[in-house]
Amino acid sequence: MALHEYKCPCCGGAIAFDSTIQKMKCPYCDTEFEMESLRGYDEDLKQEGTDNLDWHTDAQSQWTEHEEDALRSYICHSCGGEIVTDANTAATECPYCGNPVVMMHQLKGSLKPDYVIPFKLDKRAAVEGLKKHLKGKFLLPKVFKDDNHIDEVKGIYVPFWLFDADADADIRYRATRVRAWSDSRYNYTETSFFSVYRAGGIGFDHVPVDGSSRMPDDLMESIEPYDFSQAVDFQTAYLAGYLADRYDVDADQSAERANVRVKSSTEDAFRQTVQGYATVTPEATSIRLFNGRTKYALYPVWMLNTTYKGEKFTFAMNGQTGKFVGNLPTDWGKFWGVGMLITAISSALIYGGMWLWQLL
Amino acid sequence: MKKRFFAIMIAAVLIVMCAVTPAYAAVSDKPRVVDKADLLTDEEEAILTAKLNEYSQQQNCDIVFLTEPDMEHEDYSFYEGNVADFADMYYESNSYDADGVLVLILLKDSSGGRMIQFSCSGKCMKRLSDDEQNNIIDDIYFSLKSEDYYSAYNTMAYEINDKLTPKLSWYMLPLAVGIGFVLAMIIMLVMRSKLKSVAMQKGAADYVRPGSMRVTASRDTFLYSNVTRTRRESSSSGGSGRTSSGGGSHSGVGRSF
Repeated sequence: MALHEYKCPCCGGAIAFDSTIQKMKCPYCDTEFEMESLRGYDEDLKQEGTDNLDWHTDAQSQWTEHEEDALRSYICHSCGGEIVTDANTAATECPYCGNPVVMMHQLKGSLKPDYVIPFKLDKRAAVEGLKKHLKGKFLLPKVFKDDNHIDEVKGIYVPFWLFDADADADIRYRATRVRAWSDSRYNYTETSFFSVYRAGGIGFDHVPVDGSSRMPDDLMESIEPYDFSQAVDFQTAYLAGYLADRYDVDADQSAERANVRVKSSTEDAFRQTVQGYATVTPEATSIRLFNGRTKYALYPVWMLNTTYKGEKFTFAMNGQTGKFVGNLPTDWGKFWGVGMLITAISSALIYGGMWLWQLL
Repeated sequence: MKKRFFAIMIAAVLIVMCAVTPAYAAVSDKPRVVDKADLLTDEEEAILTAKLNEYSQQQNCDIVFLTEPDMEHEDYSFYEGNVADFADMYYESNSYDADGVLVLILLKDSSGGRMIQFSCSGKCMKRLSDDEQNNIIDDIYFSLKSEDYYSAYNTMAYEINDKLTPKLSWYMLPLAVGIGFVLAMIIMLVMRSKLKSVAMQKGAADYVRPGSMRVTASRDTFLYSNVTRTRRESSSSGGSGRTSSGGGSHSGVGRSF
């Protein structure tokens, strides 16, 4: 299968994308290369990517058909070692020599991304992000904080489907206004009912939906938003030095999630135009999407894993904005201990307050 | 962080303890047993005075016993036989503490009968309810009828002190603990929520195309309205609140015997 390593024209070492200078850089001779200069190089790589697949079927006869479907093996051009990956890996590093490699055929044809947002933050920022994430969490187990060692930090280009759409909405609400007054004997409450109608449109650009089944959807949505204005046309060179997946959830499957989000935001936006009422309840909602366009992009994500008491904790950091997320364990001893202490103190204060009330 | 938290909690407890501890302060030094009808011996007066001084200090209010032989006296014509006003005005005009209880035993009212009258002022209007006053009168009624005034006042002194002492019903403690527990759980769950940062997005508000929102139709149509009315709660607390001829607010029940 087609496998490419970006070789330094000066020393022949494997070069990778450096997020701090936003250029390709050779770690051996420190030579830097502009991304634009690699664009033509990419074109050549595409030609190389037409290698036939025959050699693979001759390799190991013990692979079952199912295993063959799920695995890919490549030969590292630097050291000749065999790299075995799953079917969706688009970029990785050789486990023997550590050189970054890009699986060209995973990024060809319909699999070629339209855009990529290059990594803006490096691995050190991700580790710092985790440290900051652990600060100020009172119920985080002290052992987790003090003894925390990260099992793995990976920079991954995650495949996202980007949905552009215009939405037309017709929404009817039932709304109420309440007026209260009183005389010497009665309190009066007048509730007025209104039918409120709003129609109009709203547009959405680049609504992202995670196209990789390996990435938890909630984790990927938690690190949003991404600033699409910093996206550039896709070049495979950006992937060098990082891991990358190709999509395995197609655009049609992802559209359902995009629709839900667009519909929800459309409803919210029109709800904001209904002002001056005590209650507003949607009675009939009709939202129609049109001008739908879908793009395929790779977004940068730092993934960090750690293990605590046998449980795996996964964190993610937006490789563009630095937004860091990840659920943390709870110190249940502290939870109940402090909870009981607060119960005791607040109960004493409340009981004292009840007693004091009788004196006033 | 933890030390500061505990320091704040301890300070809060101390503040409340200070606040709820009755202040043994400014109650008046006026005589608390005024036996104009000479119903008590000097020794009995001394014993009652000592008790009332002690109870008044404890409750931070003036507890005063007054006996009056006859309201038909021309000096009292101003009151036109209003025993309650007489008791209220006696408490007001003798510069007792703003909070207090006066119990008058009158041997001859406008109809010639004997009468006991309570006059409560300030916070004691709430702390000693009409029902509690009636219970006290019930308890001493036999002594009053049999003209055993010392025994009546002695019992009264004890019962007034007892009823002015704040008491909490048995269910108040579990109620306080229950509220405290709910409060603690809210605080702890808010703290725990800081450990959770992974959730699906609710919408796509971050990706709305700037300036793309347009409202092409907007109609607000009135349909109908309805009016409900509820009777206003009486603002009185159920006590016999009244205003004395001197303008002060008082409460207190009275009964003939």
